[in-house]
Amino acid sequence: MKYSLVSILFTLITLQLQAQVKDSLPPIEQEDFSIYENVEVAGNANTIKYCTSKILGGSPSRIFSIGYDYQLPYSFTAGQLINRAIAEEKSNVTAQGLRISANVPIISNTKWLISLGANYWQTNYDYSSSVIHPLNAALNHSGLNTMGVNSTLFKPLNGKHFILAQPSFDWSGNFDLFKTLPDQSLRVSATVLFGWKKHDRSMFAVGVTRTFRAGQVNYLPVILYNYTYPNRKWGYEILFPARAHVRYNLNARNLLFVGYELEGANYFLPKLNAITGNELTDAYLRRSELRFRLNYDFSIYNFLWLSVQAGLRLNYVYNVDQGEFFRSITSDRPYMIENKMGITPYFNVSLNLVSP
Amino acid sequence: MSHFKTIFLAFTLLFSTFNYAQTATNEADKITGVWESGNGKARIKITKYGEKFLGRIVWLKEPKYADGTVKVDKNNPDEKERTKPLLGYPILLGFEYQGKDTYKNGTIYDPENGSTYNCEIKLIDENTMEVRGYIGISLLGRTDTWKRIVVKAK
Repeated sequence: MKYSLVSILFTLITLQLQAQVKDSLPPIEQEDFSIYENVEVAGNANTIKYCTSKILGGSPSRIFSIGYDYQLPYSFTAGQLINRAIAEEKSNVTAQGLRISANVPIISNTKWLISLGANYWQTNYDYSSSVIHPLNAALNHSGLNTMGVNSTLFKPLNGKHFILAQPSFDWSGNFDLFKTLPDQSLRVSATVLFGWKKHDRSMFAVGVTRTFRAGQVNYLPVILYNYTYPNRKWGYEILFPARAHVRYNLNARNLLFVGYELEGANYFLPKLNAITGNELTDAYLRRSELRFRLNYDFSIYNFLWLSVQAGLRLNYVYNVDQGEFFRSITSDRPYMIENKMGITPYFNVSLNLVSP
Repeated sequence: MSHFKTIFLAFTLLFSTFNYAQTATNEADKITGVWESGNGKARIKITKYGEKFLGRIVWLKEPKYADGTVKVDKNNPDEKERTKPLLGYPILLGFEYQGKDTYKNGTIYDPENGSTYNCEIKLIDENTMEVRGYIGISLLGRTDTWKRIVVKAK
């Protein structure tokens, strides 16, 4: 409390001092600004200009974020286990959890942008009735957690071209990530893009990604397209196939988005094995869902932004396989447990510190 | 005689101090002039006021909106500022010379989003400087390299 008061006092003093600085400025000189059109660079004239990683009107990047995600009750049918005497089980479930992430620029200058990040996401399941199916029992007991580290590298080659790379290492499963990180739960994904920045309102890039967003490893082409129209009101923020949004700028500090995001991961389930007496060894949950949503991001104080999101969650896959292997999109190989999940509304609220 | 010595010493000391202060002032003033931002979209003229330095926008690559009107500071959180033209607007404020070609305690204003950041400037050489805008601590920021420009004679 004492420190909060000191902090408020400090802020007020700082604001006051800033106001004083501005009040005591010398008057604007009546100057002919046209003389600054015809200039030359002093010293070394062969100066290369580099493009930046942002576009005008685009959403600010988040340095720290803490959020809460809640899915309203939906129907969930845990499938029968093939060749075992466990029948399917129908339940009503809610899912909720914290989402915390950090992305701190380590090097951020004209020629390089390198940031390091970390994230922790949890999904806790609450069943409306008692459960006996081993998958339901495992999820009810431990939920699903993901902890990861990542990096973003942006390298402008000149004023028009850039390279963007994003490697990440994630540990996902139904265990306490703060106590143990089994090797089987580690998933490595990465995206590499080569891009063009036509002007300050447009960025386009193409590349490839190794991703688990579809619940399993996939190698896919990826397209980045960030664009703001000349009126600075409308724009797009697209990283296809992961997400795509249409943006409407109410002003520089109030942004509306409508679009979708594909979320997913591949979870190691050691607790499923434990509950079933080690009958089901080496179990992995392939989870992927589409989220169609409306998002409102706005500044509540300076660099502190609030993001409020609501939409519909559609299940793409939520099935368990024995062993981690590549399963092609067209594969008809049966899952160990094949589940059904209803569509449900969801909301997400997060508090974010955004970057310069 | 001893009085003469004392007066002589005092003058010497005074002269040295004045000379040092003059050198420090000249050193500090190296930042003044016209600079171009790293992306080449703006030129900023840095001048001295009192013992501090400020920088005003004197040129914009795109000085007008699509409808032909002159760009104003429309994203400023302070409504009174929103009609002021960006040309002439002070975006660098409060910089104090700290020695070793470094200027601190300043702020930089980004008219694109109406945000003001803490800022430090380091002169790399007489024609190059690094401008670092940050939030609270220097780690949470971004550095831009600015080049000095000279106005060609008409």
